[in-house]
Amino acid sequence: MTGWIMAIGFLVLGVAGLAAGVLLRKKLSRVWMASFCVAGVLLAVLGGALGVGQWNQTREERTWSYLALCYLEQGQTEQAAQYLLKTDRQDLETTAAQLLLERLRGNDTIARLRADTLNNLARTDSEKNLCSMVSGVAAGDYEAVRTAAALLREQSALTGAARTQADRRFAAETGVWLGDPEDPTAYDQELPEAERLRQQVDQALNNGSNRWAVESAAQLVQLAPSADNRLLLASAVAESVYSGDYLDASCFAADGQEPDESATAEREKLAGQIEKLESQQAQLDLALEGASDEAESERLADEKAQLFARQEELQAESDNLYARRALSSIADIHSLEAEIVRARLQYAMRDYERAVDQLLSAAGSLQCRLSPSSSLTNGLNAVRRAYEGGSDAVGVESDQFRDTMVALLSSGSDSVALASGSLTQSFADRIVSDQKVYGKDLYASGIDLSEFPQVTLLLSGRAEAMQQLVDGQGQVKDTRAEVDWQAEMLDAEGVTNQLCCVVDCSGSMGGEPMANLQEALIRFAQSDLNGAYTSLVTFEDTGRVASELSADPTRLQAAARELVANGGTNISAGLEQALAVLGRADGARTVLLMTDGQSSLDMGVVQQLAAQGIVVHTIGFGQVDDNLLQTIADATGGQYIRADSSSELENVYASLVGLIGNRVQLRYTAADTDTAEGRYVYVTTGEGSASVRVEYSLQDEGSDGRGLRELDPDFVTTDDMATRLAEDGSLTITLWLEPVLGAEHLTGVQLGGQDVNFIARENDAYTVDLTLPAAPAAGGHTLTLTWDDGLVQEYPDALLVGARLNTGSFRLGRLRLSATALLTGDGRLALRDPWLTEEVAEGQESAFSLSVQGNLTLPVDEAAILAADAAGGTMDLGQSGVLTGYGMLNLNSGDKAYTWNAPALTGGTPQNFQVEATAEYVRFLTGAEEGGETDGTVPQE
Amino acid sequence: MERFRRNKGPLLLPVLCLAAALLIYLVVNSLWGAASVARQLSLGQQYLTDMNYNAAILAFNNAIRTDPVSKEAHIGLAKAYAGTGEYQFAGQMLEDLNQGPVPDEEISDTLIDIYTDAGEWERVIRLIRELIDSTDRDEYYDLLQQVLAAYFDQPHSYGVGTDQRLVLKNGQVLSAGSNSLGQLGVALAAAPEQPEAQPLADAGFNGTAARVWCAGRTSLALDEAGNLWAAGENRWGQMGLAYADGTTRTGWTCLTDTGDVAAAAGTTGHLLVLRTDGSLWQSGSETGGQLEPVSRFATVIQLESSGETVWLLSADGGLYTSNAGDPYTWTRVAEDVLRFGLGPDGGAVWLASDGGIGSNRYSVEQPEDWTALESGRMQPDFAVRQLAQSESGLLLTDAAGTLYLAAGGQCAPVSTASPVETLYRQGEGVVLELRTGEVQYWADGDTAPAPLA
Repeated sequence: MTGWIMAIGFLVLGVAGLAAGVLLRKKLSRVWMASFCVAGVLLAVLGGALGVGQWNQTREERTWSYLALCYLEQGQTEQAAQYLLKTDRQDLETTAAQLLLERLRGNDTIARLRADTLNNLARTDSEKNLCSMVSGVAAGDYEAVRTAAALLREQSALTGAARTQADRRFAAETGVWLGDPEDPTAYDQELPEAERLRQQVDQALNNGSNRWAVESAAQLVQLAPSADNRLLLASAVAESVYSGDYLDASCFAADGQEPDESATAEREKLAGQIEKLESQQAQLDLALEGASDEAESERLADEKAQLFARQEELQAESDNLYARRALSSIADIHSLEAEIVRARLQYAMRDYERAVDQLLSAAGSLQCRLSPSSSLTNGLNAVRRAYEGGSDAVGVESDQFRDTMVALLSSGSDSVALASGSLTQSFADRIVSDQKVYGKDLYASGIDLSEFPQVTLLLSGRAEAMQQLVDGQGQVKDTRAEVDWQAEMLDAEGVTNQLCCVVDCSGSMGGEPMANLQEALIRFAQSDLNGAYTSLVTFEDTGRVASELSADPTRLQAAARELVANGGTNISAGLEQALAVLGRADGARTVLLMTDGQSSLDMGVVQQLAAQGIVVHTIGFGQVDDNLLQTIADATGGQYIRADSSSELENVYASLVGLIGNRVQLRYTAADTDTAEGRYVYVTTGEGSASVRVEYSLQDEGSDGRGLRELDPDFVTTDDMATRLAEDGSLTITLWLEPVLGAEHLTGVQLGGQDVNFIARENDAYTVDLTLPAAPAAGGHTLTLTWDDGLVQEYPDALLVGARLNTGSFRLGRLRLSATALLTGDGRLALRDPWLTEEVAEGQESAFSLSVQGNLTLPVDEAAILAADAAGGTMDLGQSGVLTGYGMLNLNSGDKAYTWNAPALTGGTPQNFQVEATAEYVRFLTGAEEGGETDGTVPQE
Repeated sequence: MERFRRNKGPLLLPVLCLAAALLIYLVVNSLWGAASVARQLSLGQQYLTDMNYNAAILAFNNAIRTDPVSKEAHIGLAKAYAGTGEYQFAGQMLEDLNQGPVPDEEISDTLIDIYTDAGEWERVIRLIRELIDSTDRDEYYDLLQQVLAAYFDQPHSYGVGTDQRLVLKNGQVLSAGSNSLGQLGVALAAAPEQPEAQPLADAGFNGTAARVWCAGRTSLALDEAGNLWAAGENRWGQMGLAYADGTTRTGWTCLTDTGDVAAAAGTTGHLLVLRTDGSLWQSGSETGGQLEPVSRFATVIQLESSGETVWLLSADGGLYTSNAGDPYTWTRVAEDVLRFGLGPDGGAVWLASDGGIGSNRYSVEQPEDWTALESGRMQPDFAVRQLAQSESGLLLTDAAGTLYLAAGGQCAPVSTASPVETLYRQGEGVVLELRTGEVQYWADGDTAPAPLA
């Protein structure tokens, strides 16, 4: 609209000036009259030129919308999107086309926005009907989209001639004629040579025939060396170079002319140098075979790697020859479109950073501010906002942003053929990928509470975040209370990092994923790793060391170039090799594990890595087991990074460069020492740029479930013991362990303070035979199990030995017990597997019926017990007391409330508990301190 | 030269006019482009202030077309849609932008405002929880506390245990069923043969109760001060008194005195208590009879039990279940859940964050106006607030409290005396608590709800 206003304004001013000059000729001098007329004419001409420009632009934009509808009718969304992005128009037709595009893509949110805009634009009834029809198209309904697009195309505001031209253009791009079917000659009309060549270029690019595109574009430049045509040629060259198509001088030779052989000569020279390097490497291979010792082998291998690196450089120079020449050929064009094409050429030469810098530089230029092309300036501004906007830039992963990038990157040409090319797509993907955040800037790899309230937190992350903490810039809170803290770098300066890249070379990595991986590894090796030693391990069905630890990064690069995808996925094999490589190394050691598939895992290898302090960062994409990779990272203090595709690998590895070897130890003293649960520590750096929250608990986690399950016999009379010893010559007790950790991890067993021999049963690691050196004395005997990791477990009264009582019925307060009983000789009565009920009045039902699967003991007066036992009948143990038990407390069928299948009152595993009985109540106290897991130290009294 | 000086004016006029025209052209072009986004944003904000939401939508849309990464434009657009009542759409737009590892505070704050206006409290709670995790700011803790306190303030007037039931009527607790272990709250009596046929009677609860529940043969009541009382079985130490009762106790025992209990649930031998700060506590045989926090869940927003199954919903959208056979083990059943309701035989139905209905056990023939989502779930044609499964079909309510029954490929509103405040399943039916305070019960097999007897 502004353009039209200015055009009309200038026209009016011009006419006014002309009229002033003519009408005031009598009052003005001749010179002034002429001046007014000339000024008027100039302004009118300017206004007219602007008006014509605006008219052309309007027609052009209508053509873009029309072409977009043509592509939508064919179900081709990419091209339709590109044509729609070329136009700034927000009329009904364009907005309707945008809505259909998003419906076809299934982007409901954006489609909704377009539909609302469309409804706001409709004024007349017919427009509202049309909008209603278009808005009613369902997501993904191709037929409805096609019908709607055809209808909109019919109602397009393009004139007949412009429509025919657009139809012909569409036909040239796709081979499909959507024009008047009764006028096929319209399609075959003779085109001007330049137009024919331009269409040929578009067709070639559309078909992926990049070499043909270059040839056609070269002819076009020969015919009309305008800036646009030269840029088109450079774009075609970029596409060819990126795709690896072979170009030579004949592509650029005009008809009837000899090709310029300077490029050929340069290429031949490079080829000669490459050949020489290959020959030298072959000689080194022979020398390697006959190498006398390891040192010489290493020297020769290093030399070969350097030669190979140089060869690669020369090969790249050769491959990029025409791209460099294309850059030179457009050096004199200073338009924004030229900047875009230069960025494309940089990208084609794999100089990605420079390509992005080119775009950012263009975005910040004065040209960008003054450019009349809003789509171009908007695109460049969007790039700049994405890279420099920080948290103010959102939606960088949206289709809208990506479409804008594709439109920007293909703006060097009038057609959309460039938009669908692999270079444009890859460049757009890279820009989107650059905005993604891979890996956390700050994360916790461990917390030490052994000296609580002093807490030690091990943090890892980006060097900047670590340095901020060391410099005291940040905040630490423990369970909502801010605390004073100190941080220091864990790895001393000068400590060398040892890195092992473990990569998946299974069959699924074939093709593009492997190419992306190789590229990522090569760039990783080329980045600043602070002198780290690097190595490469591959795995498919087995693991293999592709490159040993070396300070020379070219060795990793060389090994990466030789990677081949084949076989299955065996992550454990890869990690085992990494352990072998890094196990011998000193310094801070890190593994970067990458996989695109699923695999079983031997956690033992991971535990070994963790035990050796080797950090494993994991990278996954594709059909990976996210939980598995997260588990490996968590177990070793690393991070798991998930990528959407292999194209992001380079950015992922690049982000990891900033994380390796940065560790900080942070200490503080917690103020609140009472709260056991719900505790956490929160750390933030600087102005809150990075933060981490770690939850922890002060409660003892307890054992891992290992230990005593049952001892048999555990309840014997001294007489029985003597008899067995006399008969068998030895005393054997069977120990059943919980099926958590087997007997192979036991280093010692004691019973009653004496070491006993123990042998696990064959084929049963959880059943152990204990051979007692002598008959145990009367009393309760503690079973002590010592494990190979240092844990010591004690089970008091695991074995009860005493004199058998005749009585089997007892009463304590209102508790009634039925059990086999022993007098242990240490002042206690022991009851085996007692049955418990209430002593209630006749006619009243007992509230419960319980049984203990285990033993109960009660301190007693032994003399009184013996006397009561001799008297017979139910033994009265007093009005109240507390029985101590170990085992499980179960409800019996016949209980007041339960007849079957009731869960055990003490949980599913044996534990310590107490039974308190009085005349008024019976209570069970569970959760008493469990049978003593100690470090073996006997407390001094 | 003299001639030039004399005719300087006329000679310069056309040149100056042309130069001025070109300058105007260049300046207008550059400023127009640069100002376009700023102008659209300013327009959009103005329209928002004026509550002209349709115009605001257009303005912010235009801004996004020009600058697709403008946070201000996206936030403004979301506010404009929220202003038209399209809360779900507005929320979805911003949620799509807030998927990074660390939530954007500005976007999260806007989402909180939008969801608060929409009454989508589960989403509000989840967002506040995420902000707490990423910023640990006191203001978010305070906000969470306020929101939870309001969120948990929902009636619960009916509880069904193993062989007893509790009804809350005008603050009085009534009970019926078996009293073999004192679960009715009154003096012991022998277990009747048909406990479900026993009439309701005063449960002997002193004072005024606010909510009631049952967990196995343990009856629970919340007093007005927010403290939890229990009657009945304590043989596993589930009352949290540090011991298990062998002897049957009578009457009501106070379990907490902190005044911050929001809900309770449980199964035989295992009690769960949800506090108003969202923390979950449990007691039973494996906690030594002590009420201990369940540290696995930072914030729980819904807790329900039926029979021998317990279900809970954590603030991050995780739906978990456990059963009486292993009450200390939680199984994660679903993610991104906003709310759930129970069904027969221990199953559950839930409302997912994409608006779809999910279940681990029940299926509903898709009604005509519902949409099949990519996730496989079905999305009703109205915003669901609560849901529960009965044998008659799936019962749902919307924001206005209208009750719907989805069954046999149809979803039709069900007439109730007043809008439904809350619904939940207990026993062999679904309880409907109306906004008037009336409580209705839709028993399985019945064709309509009836006043709770």
